[in-house]
This record gives sequence, structure tokens and C-alpha cells, in this order.
Amino acid sequence: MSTAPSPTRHHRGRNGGTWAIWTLLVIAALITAFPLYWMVATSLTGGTLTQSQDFRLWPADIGLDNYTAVFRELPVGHWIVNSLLIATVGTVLTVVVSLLAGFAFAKYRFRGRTAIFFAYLLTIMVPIQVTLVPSFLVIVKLGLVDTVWGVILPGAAEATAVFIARQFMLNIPTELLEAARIDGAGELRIFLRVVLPLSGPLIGVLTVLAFMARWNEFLWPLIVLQGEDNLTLPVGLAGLQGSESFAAPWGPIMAMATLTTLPVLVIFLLCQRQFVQGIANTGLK
Amino acid sequence: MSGTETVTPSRPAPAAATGPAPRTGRRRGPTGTRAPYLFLTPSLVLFGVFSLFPIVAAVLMSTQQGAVLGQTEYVGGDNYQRMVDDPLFWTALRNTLVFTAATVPLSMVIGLLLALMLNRPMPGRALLRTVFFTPMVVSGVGVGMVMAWIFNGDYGVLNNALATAGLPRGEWLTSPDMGMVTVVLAVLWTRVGFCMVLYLAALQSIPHSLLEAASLDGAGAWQRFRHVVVPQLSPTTFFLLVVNVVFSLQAFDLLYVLTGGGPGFATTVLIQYIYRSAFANGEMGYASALGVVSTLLLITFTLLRWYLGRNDEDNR
Amino acid sequence: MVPVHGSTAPPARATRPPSRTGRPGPTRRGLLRAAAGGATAALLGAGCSAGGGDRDHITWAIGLDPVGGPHFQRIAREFMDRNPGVTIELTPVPNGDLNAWLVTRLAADRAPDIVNMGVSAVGRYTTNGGTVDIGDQLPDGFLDDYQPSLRALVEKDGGVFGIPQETNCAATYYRTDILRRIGVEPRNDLERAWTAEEIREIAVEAKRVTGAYGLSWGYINESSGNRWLPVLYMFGGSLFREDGRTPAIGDPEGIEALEWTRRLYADELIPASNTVKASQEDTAFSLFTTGQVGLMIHESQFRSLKDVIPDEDWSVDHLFRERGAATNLSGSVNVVTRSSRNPELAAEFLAFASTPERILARVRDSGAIAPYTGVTARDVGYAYRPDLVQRFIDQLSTVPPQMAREQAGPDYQAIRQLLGDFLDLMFIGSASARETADAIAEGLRNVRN
Repeated sequence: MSTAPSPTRHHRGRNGGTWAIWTLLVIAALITAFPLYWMVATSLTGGTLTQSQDFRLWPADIGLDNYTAVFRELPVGHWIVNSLLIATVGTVLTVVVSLLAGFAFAKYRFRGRTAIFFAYLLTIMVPIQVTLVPSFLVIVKLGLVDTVWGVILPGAAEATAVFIARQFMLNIPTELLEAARIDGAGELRIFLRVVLPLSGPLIGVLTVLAFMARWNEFLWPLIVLQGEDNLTLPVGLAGLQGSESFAAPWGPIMAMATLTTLPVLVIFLLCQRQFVQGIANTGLK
Repeated sequence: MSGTETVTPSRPAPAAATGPAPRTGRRRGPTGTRAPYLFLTPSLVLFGVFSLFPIVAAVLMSTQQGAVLGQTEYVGGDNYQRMVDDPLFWTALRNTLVFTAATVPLSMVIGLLLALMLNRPMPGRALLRTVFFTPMVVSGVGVGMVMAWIFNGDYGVLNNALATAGLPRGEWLTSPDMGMVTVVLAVLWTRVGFCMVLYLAALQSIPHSLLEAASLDGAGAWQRFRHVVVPQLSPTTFFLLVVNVVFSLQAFDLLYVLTGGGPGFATTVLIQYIYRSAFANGEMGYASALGVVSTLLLITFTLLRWYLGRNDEDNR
Repeated sequence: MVPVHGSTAPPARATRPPSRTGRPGPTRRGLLRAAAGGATAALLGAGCSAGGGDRDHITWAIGLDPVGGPHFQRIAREFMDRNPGVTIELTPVPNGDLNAWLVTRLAADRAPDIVNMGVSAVGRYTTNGGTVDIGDQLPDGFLDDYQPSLRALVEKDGGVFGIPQETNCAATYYRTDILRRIGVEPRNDLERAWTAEEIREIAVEAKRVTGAYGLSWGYINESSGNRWLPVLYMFGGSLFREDGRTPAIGDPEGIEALEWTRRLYADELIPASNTVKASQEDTAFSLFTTGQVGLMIHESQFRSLKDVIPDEDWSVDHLFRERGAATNLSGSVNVVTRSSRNPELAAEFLAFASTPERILARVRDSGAIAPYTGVTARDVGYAYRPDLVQRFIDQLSTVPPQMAREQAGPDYQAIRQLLGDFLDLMFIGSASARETADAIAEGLRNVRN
């Protein structure tokens, strides 16, 4: 317990108070961690033991039966590959597109800027449920139906990401850009050489948010993708719920939920430092 | 449209922290350049083709009647007129407002409280922070299923624990009074961490000089919080408010999996009613009209919030 | 940075490799690597849309369960062996999201050639032009041996809009141990089945024995409210009058049926976790297998019981009856969609997949019920508890014709939603039988007018 009085902190180092807060936080953290823990614990509980009214906080009989079952019955390996592919390519696209757009909105004044920006923001306000049919018609016209591009491209237009990018870029001093212009740099060169190197934290934030959004997408891939092996994890997971495939479904469902969550969780934990620092620097704070 | 300017940078970018940033957004690029349009082209294409066109189509559909598959006919405002007399619409709207009014402020307040508590050195701080925001990576479908399992009335761990402690089993998902509460709890689980991260970042960027100055002026902890911290957090609050309202109005997967709109109509929200009108009932026109109304609600809220926020700033 | 994608490129004809119909389990790891390669290829554009543009490619959307899956894959393989150049691809039907998926895909003319759907959805898609008439491609009298209630679903205006794949209905499961302790004998006679009042009394006793509840009901989600309808019809009620427009649920018989059901929940003979909307796929079965109830009203789905509780602990009797007998009609139908580029070939394949020996081979393994009249459990040769399957087969004769007619209608899905909504309200104690009848009647009027 370090209560070293730091000049930069304004709390008065009251030991008791800090301890109380710490205890409170730990309790809150335990509650927060529980659902994920329980998901994993249930997934490791074999057979029909899940359907028990006995209270236990850990699996009665730890085993990987549920995992072997879902891998045996479902093309989970394919789904993982598809999800990774869609999320990765989609994320790269979103980041690139949003950086460019954010730069334009933040650092240029041009005809239609306001209207375009509002139009972008409008897109996050319309629920996908009502645009599903026309969106799918677009995909068909472009020949993208049943392909991963049909999932990736529409998702790449992400208004929140553009908004975040713009907020961040507003903070980049225009003097830097002017200086580069005076040195004779073209606009693209300014973007690549001046803006991009300053955008590390922004890229971190956009990457994490876009990856999570793409990875967890459900309704759109459900409509666009076809073929048992071509689905994504959330679509496969949802399919399990109404399935008669498993006699005691909660074990397999939680195994599938764990498989769906684990990859994105790992990526998130790996990037969390960059993410947190990025948030601090994006101008969202 | 200066609305987008309300989120003013509260401090310069770290890499070039050389004095206060100018009101950069108002600066003009080189005149006559086509550069901004070139930078915008990829997003313009994507947004135009994959987002804006379908939205326009959806608005048009809201004036039509008939299944998407069969004949459609233009019915003008009939679909909107119908809402007025549709009790289920009003139920769904009320539930949506209750759900939003509960999830948005609660997730922000709890997020802020956690951020305030974490904004000091303590053992395991990084771990605590990580634990609080990991739930946000779980998909809506996943959260719905995990929560359905935990709150399961017969075999859920929560009720098993209550029963073991000699308490009655809770009616988490089965009583109309508890249904909405349970759904809100599930949503808070995924949202609080996100709010916390953003608030924490904002707190850490409040210049210490400001707080010290306030202390010297004799401001107590509460006064410092109210008059220094809260205003400094306002851009974050604005962003979180809008984003959270969007999330809440569009929360679909989680509720769909967790309650299916029940018990009774206790958790039937607008977005679910839209989905069901469009696909289960085959009334795409009516569903589109509902979607338009939902969108207008959101726009109204955003504009209102921005307008009030602007007045705040003007008064300061 | 403009994302250039071949917006005008026509779908590549027959560039798709023959789909893997039989997923070879042992080489899954190898496949993982192959999938990674395939994914890369897909990104590079090699995986351009198949299905829609290819006349020799048939996509069959079907529930790929562990038991049925291998059968479907084998059938597809056999057909491809006999018809070189033809490819059959299997794709799963999204559970619970059939409508969103199918409506969207039909609207864009990109639905699979053949779609397997529940009997409650067929009426809608055969009426709104989503499916095509395949009567001309079928041998004469192809449907003659099918059950009339199933034929009614697919035969419209002299055309044939699909082929039933299997059927199902509800009967009464009971725990032998609990019945023994109550001292009740099963009737095992369709004509003399327990009455509604008797089953209620048994449920009361069962609740005493279990210390929890008496009865569970096979609701599975918010759209499964139609699983209540047998009660309405066995009490002599109906949804509509003979004119098919005037709601009849508010008639005394309807109120009686609603009130009988309401009391099951009010007295906690059925738990609150087993209402229409609170129930999940496993709810009724879990209550039954864990001994929280002594009785269960459900369809034939032995997979959820086999190896979960010992065979000697459970059995099946016919569904209870009141003024008459009734049960619900379940099962699925394969239809050829209007999106099919080659409906003749699709119909040919569908007829091939629906020959009696292929259908019987599959229901034998899955425990489902064949869609034919006069086929006994012994004829099929079920490996697992054929005597119990026979009870369901017998029970099928009690499907009320009027209910089957409604089920074949274009608006049955909306009616199901309606039933789910207002039955749920009543089950949770928020509405009386009368209020429920009025609300459903109002909804029915809106649906029909």
C-alpha cells in the first residue's frame, strides 16, 4: 500500500479512506470478473452437471468435454479463421479510412464539410435492422454476396471512428502542417510524414475499438455469409442457442462463448496499455 | 454545424505539447486544394454506398406498405399514423426510454466513480482497471447468453447461491418488475468499464495547477470536484452521453438473447419491435417508419444536448 | 485508398470447387490450414459469389444437426455422383433468425435454392411468392402418402410448393418414479387419455412429490406460443370462426382453455421460468430431467433425454384431452425458392432427397417422425424406444384440421407472435383469461383485416 504523498495527487493520503476505497474496488472487481469467470467455469463442467441446483463456485468435474463436443459437431476452426480474417482486414480498412477522413475534417475547410460530417454521424443513428434489406441489395449489386468482402467493406465505414480521428487531429498543431507546407511538402506527404507519426495513440484506440466491433458483429454476417464453414464465431454461437444438438446445452454454449471471447480478449489485453494511453490522447477525454 | 466544435481540445497533443493549441479546426487549408476531397474519397465511397444509400432507401420504404417480397404501394404517412394507435409501439417506446434513462446515467456515474477511485496510486491498480473494462470486449450475443445462464431461475449460480444462503430464489428473468432491472444490470456490466477508461484518461489530464489553485483558494474536495473537475470532464461527458444513448437505443443482441422482450412486454424495446415488425410480421414499411422515429429521437436528443451544452459554455 | 472491388464482375461460373459435403472429421486440423488458405483466396477475389448465377450449383439450407447432418451430406454426395457437373452445397439455416435471413436474401434474389423451414413458416413464403411450384417436376402422386395436414401446407392452387421432410407433435412425458409415488397409472390409450382436469390433479400431486413444480411445457422462445393451441382446440375452442376472419378465442370454450392454463401458472404447477418468453430451448427438458417436475408436455425429442436420465425413469403417454383430443403440428418442409436459377434441378434433387427410403433412414436415426400416413414405428425400425415414438405417431391423428389450416395461412407467424405476447402476459399473472382473450382477438382482427 503506497500512500507516498505525491505532489501531483490531491488526495490527502488518509490511510483509512484509501484502504476503504481499495476494498470497495476489489469487491467491485470481483463482481465484474465473475461473469467471465463463470462462463469459463461452466464451459469446463462436464456432462449434465451444469444443470444442478447445488451452489458451487468452481466446476465439479473439470474437463474439456464441452470443447471436444463443439469442435466435433461444429466447424469451429473455420469460424475462428473467418472471424480473424474479417476482423483483421476490416480493422485495417477502418483505421486507414478513418485517419484520412478525420484529417480532412480536422485540418481543412472545404465546401460540404459540415454536411458530410453530419451525414456520417447520421449513419450511426439509424438502426441496422431497417437498413438490412437495402444494404444487402447493395452487396448483391456489387457481387459481394457470400464473400468476406461483403462483410468487411460495409463495416469499414464507421462514423464513430471518423469522429474519434477528427477529435484527435484537431489537437495536432496546424503550425506543424504550415511549416511542412512552407518546406514544399504536398498534402499527402504532410499526412504521411507529419500527421501519421503523431497519430500512434489514435491508431491504437481505433484498432482496438474497430477490432472489437468487427469481431462481435452478428446480424450482418448472418445475412451475408453462406455455407456452414464460412460463418463467424458470433453467428455460430447464436446458432447454438436454439439448437437441439446438445442434451445439456449450457456447457457447450459456454464453451462456444469462451471461444468467441478469448481471441478478442487476448488482443485487448495485449493492446490495453496503448489503448488506455491512446484514449488519454485522442481528445475524447 | 459548429456543434462538432463543442468538443474543444482541452490540451495539446502530447507529441507537440508546445503551448495551447490554436482553434485549429477553423484554420483553412491551402485555398483551392483538392486534398481534403481526396482524403475523404475512401470514406465517401464507403459511407455513400453502404450506409447513406440504404438509409435513404429505408426512409422511402417507411412510406410504403406491403412485404418486401410482394407488391408494395405508396401509402404516404399511413405507417406513421398507425404508430399513434399502436399500443405496442407506445409500450416499446416507454421501455426504450426507461432502459436508456437507466443505463446511460448509471453507467456514466459508476464509471466516473470507479475512475475517481482509481485515480490514485494503489496496489494492483493496473489489474483493477483491466478487470473493469474487459467486459466490453464480449459480444452482445455472448453477454446475453452468459447473463441468461447466471440469472437462470432454476440452475443459475445466483439463485443457487441465494438458495444455499436460505434466501428465496430471485425472479430475475421471470417477474415483470425484475426483468428490466436484470437487463439493465447486464448492460451496465458491459458499459461501465468503457466509461471508466475514458473518465480516467480525462482525470489524468486535468492540469494539477488547476486543482492546486483551487485548493489555495480554499475550495474543499467537493467544491474542487464540482467546479474544477466536472467542467474539465465535460467533453468526455458529452462524448460518452451521445455514444451511450446510441448504444442503448440500438441494444439488440443482448436483449434478444436474454429476455426475448419478456416477461410480458417488460423488456420489449423499440429496436426489438422494429426487428419483429420487419421480419417476423413482414411489415417492412412499418418497421422502417419505426426506425425513422427512433433515429429522429436520437438526433433530437443529440441536438438538444449540444444546444444545452453550448449554453453552458456561453455562460461560463 | 479507394477500395476497388470488382463491382461489375459477373459471378464466376462454376469456379467454386465442389463443396465439401462430407466434412471429414479426422482431418480437421489439416482443414484448418486449408481454411486459412481458402480465406486468403477468398480475400483475393477467388470466392466470388456462387449459388445465384450457377445453373449447376444447388444450395440447400438446412439445420445441420449431428444426427441429420451426415444424412444430408450423404444424400448430396449420392446426387452429385449420379449427376456429374452438378454441385450441392449445404448451408445452415440460422436458428431463430430464419425470417431476417430469408426475407433479406429473397428480396435480393439470393436465397439458397432449397430452404428447410419449420411448418409454421411455410404458409408465409408460399403465399408471398418466395417459393416456386415444383409440382411438374415431381412424379405423379408423389405426395399421396403424406399426411393430409402436411400436404395442406404445401399444396396451394393446384401447385406443390415444397416437400415435407419430417413431422412432430406434442405428447405427455412422465417420470415413472414420480407417477409411481403418486400412485397413478398411465393410460396408454389415445381415446382414454387423461383429461385436462386429471392432468392438473396429477401435476398437483407431482408438485407435492418433487417439492418444486408439477409440469413443464415445451415452449422454447417468444415465437413458440402456438404450442399452447392444442389446449384451445381440445376444449372445443378455436382461433377463428368458420369464416376465417372473426376471432373465436373469446368464446366460452376459449376462455375456459385460457383459464385452465392460467391456473397452472398461478398455482405454480408450471414454473415462471417456463413461460413462453422466459423459456429457452432446454428449459422444459431441464426441469424434467432434474426431477423438478413429474410431467412434461413436449414434442418427440429423445436426444435430450437419452443418456441424461436412465430409460426406466421416464416414459411417454398420449397428450391429455378434454372435449376432444388435439395436439400441435410441428416438423419441417423443404421448399424451392424463387431465387433458384435452376428450379427444375432443385426440384429434381429435392425429390431425390425425399424418397421414402432416404427419409426413413434419417428419421430412424434422429427419432423424428416420418411425414407419411400409415407408417408405424415398427416400419421405420427406430433403434431407441420405438414404442414411445409410436405414441407420437398415433397422437398425430389428433391434429385439429382447422388448426392445420390456420397454420398453412400467410399470417401464421404474426399469429404466433401474438399468442406468445399475450399468453406470456397471462402466465406471469398480468392478465386474466378474459383480458388475454380480448387482446388476442384484437390482434387476430388486425392480422386478418
